Amino acid sequence: MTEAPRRDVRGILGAAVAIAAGALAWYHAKEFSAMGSVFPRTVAAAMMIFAIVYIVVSVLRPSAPAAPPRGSAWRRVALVAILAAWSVLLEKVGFLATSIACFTAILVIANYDRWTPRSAATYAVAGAAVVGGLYAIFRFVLQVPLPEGLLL
Amino acid sequence: MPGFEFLLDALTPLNLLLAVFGVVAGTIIGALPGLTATMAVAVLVPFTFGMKPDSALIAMGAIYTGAIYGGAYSAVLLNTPGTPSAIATTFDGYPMARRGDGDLAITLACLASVVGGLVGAAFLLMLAPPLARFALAFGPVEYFWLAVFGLTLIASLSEGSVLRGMIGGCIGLLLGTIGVAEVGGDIRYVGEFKALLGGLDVVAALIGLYCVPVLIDMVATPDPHLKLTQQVAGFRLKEATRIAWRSRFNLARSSVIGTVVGILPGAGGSIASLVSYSEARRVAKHPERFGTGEPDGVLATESSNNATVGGGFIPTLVLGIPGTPPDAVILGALLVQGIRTGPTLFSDQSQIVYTFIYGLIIATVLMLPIGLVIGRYAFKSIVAIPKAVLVPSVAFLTIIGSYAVHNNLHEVQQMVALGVFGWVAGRLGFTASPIVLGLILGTIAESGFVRGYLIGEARGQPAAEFFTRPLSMAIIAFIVLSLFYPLLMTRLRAKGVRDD
Repeated sequence: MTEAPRRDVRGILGAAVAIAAGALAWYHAKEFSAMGSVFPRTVAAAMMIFAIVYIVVSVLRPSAPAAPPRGSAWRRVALVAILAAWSVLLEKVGFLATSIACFTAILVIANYDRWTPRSAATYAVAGAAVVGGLYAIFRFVLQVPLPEGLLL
Repeated sequence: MPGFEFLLDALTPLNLLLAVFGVVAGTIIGALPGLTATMAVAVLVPFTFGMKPDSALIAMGAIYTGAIYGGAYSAVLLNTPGTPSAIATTFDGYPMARRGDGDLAITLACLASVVGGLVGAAFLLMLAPPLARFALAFGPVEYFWLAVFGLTLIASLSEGSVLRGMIGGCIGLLLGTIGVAEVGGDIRYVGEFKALLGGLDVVAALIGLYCVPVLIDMVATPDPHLKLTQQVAGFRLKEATRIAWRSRFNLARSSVIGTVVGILPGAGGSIASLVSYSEARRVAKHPERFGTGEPDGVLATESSNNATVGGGFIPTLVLGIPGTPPDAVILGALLVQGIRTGPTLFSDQSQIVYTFIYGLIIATVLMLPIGLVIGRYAFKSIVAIPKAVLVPSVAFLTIIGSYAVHNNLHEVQQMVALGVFGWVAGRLGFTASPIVLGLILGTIAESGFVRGYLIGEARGQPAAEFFTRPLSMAIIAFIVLSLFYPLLMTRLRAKGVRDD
């Protein structure tokens, strides 16, 4: 017996969000001049139409796309949290200090092997080389004024 | 050959050294996500002020061409275009790397870049003045249709569902409207976030939408980022040359497209590579393989984006109008050197111009050995580095790269936010490429449309402005061909099978 094709629930959810976003974009376009609103309104209308058609097609002819890759949810959330913190703390704490802390934190969550004194030392040296090296290139060679906060 | 007597001037030890240095420096800078070819040239331009004008031009040309090629490394190995010109390289380059052919993709990119660069330089050498006049015939309406042409690529980037791709493209187009409108000055979709007044930065968006989702998925499993399916010694140059020779028409077509798009002021390598990719896919025997690791995709994009280097110099030198953003920086440097660009440059200062063009050709040829060596090293490094070091290193590059674009912390935050958005969109089945395409081409499309409409309205025929100009009609014909050719071919093939 063949399995019935699954509905693309994720895609339908995405299309529903697109309809809501399109409606919001259309509504806010009323604040713009005629010239300023014609393009966003056209695009918003097109997006809503495509999304409605997508939902209808997905319901009538179910064919779910390949499932997205699985994996550790907490590591994903932790990475996003660290990236967000990195982007916010740069100015307050300083580029180098924030980068060292965030680099180390991501290194810890990306590591699946058992920690040994040797691996810790190797990763520490590699991290120092990457952060220090790129910092030096951007700061001193490319003359990019990297932010300096409370620390460095 | 015009100005052949100046070839020896280009071959002085100093000029050769500058060409090598420029290609190496440009390639490395271009490979770092966030550092564009414009930045590579801008950062290194002060070093050229003390040089002779022809040597300075050779150094800048070499940096520029190296940076455009360097963008392919991170596109292939990390799914993050090092420069916007390499966006389309991710479509097939990264899938090739995922299946273990990253070294082949890098070598193909190198070969294609050299061929494209040489074709662009040849056009610059032979046909600069007439081609510059052609660039002047391009008005807002033609730019609008050119952007629409690029947008037709969405259908082929949609990985399974054209409708999902169209929705993604619309999301990108809407994201592109955020900020102060270029025509009319409306402040759109900014809300309380005043940092968005300038709109979303394309480079920060590229890094976020392409790179952050890869990082989020990399950290979630212990599997290696890239794997080698076979142990191959050397550069796989023979194999790559065989593939490139088989695709010589694709290479030639893409290089010519790159040169022509490069001539158009403001269009640049990203549009050139997207249009070339679209054309390569349209005429391919197996268009369904594009986007899954098809070498022809890498050849098309990399040859066309490097061809924009020579193409972009045509309006820069002949008209004083920069063809691409790095050309604008080079134009400024030329003014510092006391060179007056314009129609008489090729006759009045022929020694400087022809020495530079031959220097550019030499630099492009040098890109082959230099690019192969750097590319192999980059590939081996990415494969060998443990994930625990690779993930934070790439994360660090995304942060510093998005900051360095305009030294703006808000763009770092934009990059992270768009990265998370891109990952969520990916989980829902909406891939990054159509969104990025919409974001990049939306601004050009809207600006061209509104300007064209205003011109047409002033003439009393807004619609006629879009549909009666010969160049517009030619581009519209390509759009129609691009959209319906695959359908037509499928029908014809099906009919052929039935007849058999």
